[in-house]
Amino acid sequence: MKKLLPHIRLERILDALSEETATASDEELLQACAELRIKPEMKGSLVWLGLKGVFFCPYVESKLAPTTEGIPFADPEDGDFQDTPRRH
Amino acid sequence: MQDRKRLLTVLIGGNGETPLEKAFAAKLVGDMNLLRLKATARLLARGLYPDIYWWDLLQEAFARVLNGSRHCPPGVPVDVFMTGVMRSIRAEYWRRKGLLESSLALRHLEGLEMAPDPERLVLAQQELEAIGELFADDPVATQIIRGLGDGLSAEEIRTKYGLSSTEYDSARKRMRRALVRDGIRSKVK
Repeated sequence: MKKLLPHIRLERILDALSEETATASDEELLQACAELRIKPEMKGSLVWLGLKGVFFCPYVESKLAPTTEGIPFADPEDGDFQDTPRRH
Repeated sequence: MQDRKRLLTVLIGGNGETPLEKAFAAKLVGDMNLLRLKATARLLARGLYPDIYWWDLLQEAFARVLNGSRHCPPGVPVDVFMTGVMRSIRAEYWRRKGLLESSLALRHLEGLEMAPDPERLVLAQQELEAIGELFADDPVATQIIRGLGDGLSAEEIRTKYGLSSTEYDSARKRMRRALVRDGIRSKVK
């Protein structure tokens, strides 16, 4: 089999793996938290605040927002209109 | 309450009015969604140029939902939908980069076949290695990753590596756990 270029391989792998994280159960998330010694039930803890820090991660519109330079916007084929996750 | 919020903003660093914060306030997502989406965004930010962080993907995805340019179809779990939006933003990012690069190259090198951007190739190779390391102790997961990279279906991967359905499903479960664990850790990139 012809070896594919790394960026093509990476896109395929990320497509598949992102379905795994998107569909992880609450139990799996809580188990991961336990393994990392994060206690989601302790909402005042510093670790939890660190986790919630994502709220305050800045939104820099110029980075990924659609532009008006004639460059195509997201294509519905790319996936956000899928009604069910694909399973590999 | 406002003081507490201001204090948090100072401690954590942010403007307090991000799309994600608004989505949370509007109850579009809850705590568990946040964990799931953080892990997913971190994964989908792999291989992008270093100025793009995982939260850029997440914030942009929520911005598009809030401005009405993306709608979650009925019955689709919000995390699955948001993952699709982030994937779509990622694909759009590369399309833009590709168009920009090809238009610049064409100006100077008309007729020359376009090769992928070398920086993208290097970043992709690094991420493939990092993902490989994540599953280095799990031979079945390593085979699955290799098969996914080759574009094989689950059935083809099972056939190629002689895996039973149980072996395959167990490995996917272990992979999911490892990815979630890696994704929710507090690290920047």
